[in-house]
Amino acid sequence: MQKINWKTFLTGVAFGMAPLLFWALSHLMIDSSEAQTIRYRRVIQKYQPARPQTNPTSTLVTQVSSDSLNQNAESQQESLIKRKAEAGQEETITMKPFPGSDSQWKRGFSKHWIAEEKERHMIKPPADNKAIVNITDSQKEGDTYGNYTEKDLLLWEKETERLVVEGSLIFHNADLLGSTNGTSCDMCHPDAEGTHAETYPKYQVQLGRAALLRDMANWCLENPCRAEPMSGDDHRMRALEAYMQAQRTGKPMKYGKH
Amino acid sequence: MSSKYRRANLETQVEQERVDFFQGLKNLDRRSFLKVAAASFGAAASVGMLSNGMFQTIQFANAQDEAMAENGSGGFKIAYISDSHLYVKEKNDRFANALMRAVQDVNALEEQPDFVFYGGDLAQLGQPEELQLGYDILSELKAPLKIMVGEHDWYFDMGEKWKSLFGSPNWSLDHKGVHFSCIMSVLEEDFWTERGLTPFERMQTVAGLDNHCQRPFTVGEEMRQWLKDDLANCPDNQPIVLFSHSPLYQLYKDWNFWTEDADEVQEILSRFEKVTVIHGHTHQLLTNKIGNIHFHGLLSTAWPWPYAPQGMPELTVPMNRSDPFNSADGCGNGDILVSADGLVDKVYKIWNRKPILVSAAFLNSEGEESRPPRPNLPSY
Repeated sequence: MQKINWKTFLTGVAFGMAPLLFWALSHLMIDSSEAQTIRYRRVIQKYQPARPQTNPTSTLVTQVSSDSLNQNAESQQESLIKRKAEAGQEETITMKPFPGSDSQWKRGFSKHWIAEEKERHMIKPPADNKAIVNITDSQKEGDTYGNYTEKDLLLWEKETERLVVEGSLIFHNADLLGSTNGTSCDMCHPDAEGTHAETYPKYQVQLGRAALLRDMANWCLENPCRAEPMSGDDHRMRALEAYMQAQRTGKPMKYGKH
Repeated sequence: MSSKYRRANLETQVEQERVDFFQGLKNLDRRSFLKVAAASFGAAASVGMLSNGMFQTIQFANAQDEAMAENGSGGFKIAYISDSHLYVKEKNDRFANALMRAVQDVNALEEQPDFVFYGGDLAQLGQPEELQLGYDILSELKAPLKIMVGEHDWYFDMGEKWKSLFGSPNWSLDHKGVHFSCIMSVLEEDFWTERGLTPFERMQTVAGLDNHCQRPFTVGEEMRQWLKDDLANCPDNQPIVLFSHSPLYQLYKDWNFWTEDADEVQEILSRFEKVTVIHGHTHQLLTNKIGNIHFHGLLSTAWPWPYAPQGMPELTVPMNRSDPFNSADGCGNGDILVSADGLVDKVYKIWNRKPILVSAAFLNSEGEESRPPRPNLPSY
C-alpha cells in the first residue's frame, strides 16, 4: 500500500471545498436580505390571491379595432385577451392565484370555464340593453356620450357576466373560499337562495350593528366555513357579491328589510 | 326565566341576566346561592347551552300524550334521524357532532321507539370512511335501526360500501299491522360517461343541490315493479308507510325536490285508504297531500335548506326562518307517531325550539283542523 502524503491530501481537500464554501457563504449572506423578501412575497401570494389588474374600460375599447370584433363572442374575448397580453398586461381570467388550483393533482379550470360554469349552475343573465342601439340615425342627437354600438353592448355583457360567473364558481367551491371543513356557500344557499342581497344594509340583530352583505358573507366564512375572512376589495369577495346580487334580479331593493 | 326579564327584547334579556349573574357571584353567600344558581340556569337556557333533553322532552311529552290520546291507545312510535352529510371527522367535526347529538336525543327518550328510521344521506361525498363513521355513530342507538339510502351515499361507488354496511337499499316489514316499505328513489340517468367524469367528480356533481349537470331522480322500472310485488298481498284497507329519499311528487326540479316518475308510484299507492310517504332530502318541515297519500319531510341534522322559490305545497305551514348564527337551528330529528288506526302524525323536533306536530287530522281536514303554529319570520 502506498503511503499517504497528508500534506498534499489536505491541501487538495481545501482547494476542492473552496467553491462549495464560497457558494454556501454567499447564500447565507443573500438570505439575510433579498431571499427573505422573496420568501415573504411567496407566502403573501399563497394566502392572499393577487388581484388581477383592472384596466380602464376606455383603453379596452380603443385597443379593440373593428377587424377583430367578429360576430363570434368567444373569439372576440380571446382576441381581447391576446391584445392585453401583447400590451404586457396581466391575463385577468386566469384562476392560478387561488390556492389549490395550481396543484398538479387537481384539474385546473379549462379555458371554457365560463361556459362550463353556466352549464352547471343557473345564473341569471344581465339586463338586455338592446334598446340603446336600436335608435335609428335620424332620431339621434349626434352626441358622443351614449353613442354606443352593438359591439359595446357585447363587451359590457361579457365583462359583467364574467364577474358574476366567477362569483358562482367561488360560491360553489370550498377550496376557492378557503374553507377548511369542506363547507361551501351553496350547501345552505342553493342558487344563492336565502342570501337576499336586496335587504342590505340592515341592522343585523346577532351582530348588534348595521351590516353590509359582505359582513354577513365574512361571518359565514369565519364560522360555518372556518375560513379566513376576505377583505372588502378581495377579488373573490367582489365576485361573490356580484353573484349574490345578480341572483336577486327582479326583487325590489329594500334596505333594512327583515 | 323569571318574569323580570320577559318584557325586554332577547339581547337585553341575555345581557341583564349575565349582569345579574356576575353581580351575584361577587357577593355570594349561602342565602343568595340559590338565587344565583337559578339566574345562571336561566342564562344558560337563554343562550341555548342546555341540551334539549331538559325542557323540550317535557313539552314534547305533552304534545305526544295529546296526540296519542286523540288517536286512542295501541299506536306506536318510530324515531327518525336524517341527512347527516358526514365528512371524515378530522375534516369536519360539526356534522359528526350533530349526528351524535341526534343519537343521544333518541337514546334519552324515556319510552324507546319501536325502531329508529334513518332517512338517507349519511355521508356527504359517499366516501367509505364517511359511511363507516356514520355506521359507527348509528350503532350507538339503543333501538333497532332501519335505514334508507340517499344520493350522497350512492354516487361515489354506486352504493357498494353502503350495501356492504347496511344491506339492500329496498326492504319491507310488517309491524303491528302496518306495512312499511322502503325504496331507492334517487336513481339518475348516466350523465358521467359522456363527460368523462371520475367517480369523485360524479359524486361532487350529484352532491351539488343546484348543479344542473345531473339528471332528475327516478324510482325506475325495476324498483316500481318491486314495490308493486311487495304491496300485492296487502289488502286495500291496510295502512301503508312508504319511505323514499326524494319526495315522491314534483316540487322543484332545479334542486331535485322532484321524482321524475312520481305519478307512476302514486298510482301504485292509490288503491290504499291510508298511505303515508316519508321522505328525506329536503331538510325542512314539508307537508303535502295528493289524493289519499300523505307526504311528510324529514329534518336534517347538518343544515336546513331554504324553501324552494316555486311549487310549495299549499298544506305546508313553513317552519320559522332558521338563525344563521346558531349552527343547530333549523336542524333536528323527530318522531313518526303511528296511531292505532294506521294514520301517521309527524313530529319535527327542531333543536332549541318547541317541537311541531303535523297531525293526520290536519291533512285529512285539508288544513282546517289542528293547524301547526305559524312561523315568526317568513322566508324572503
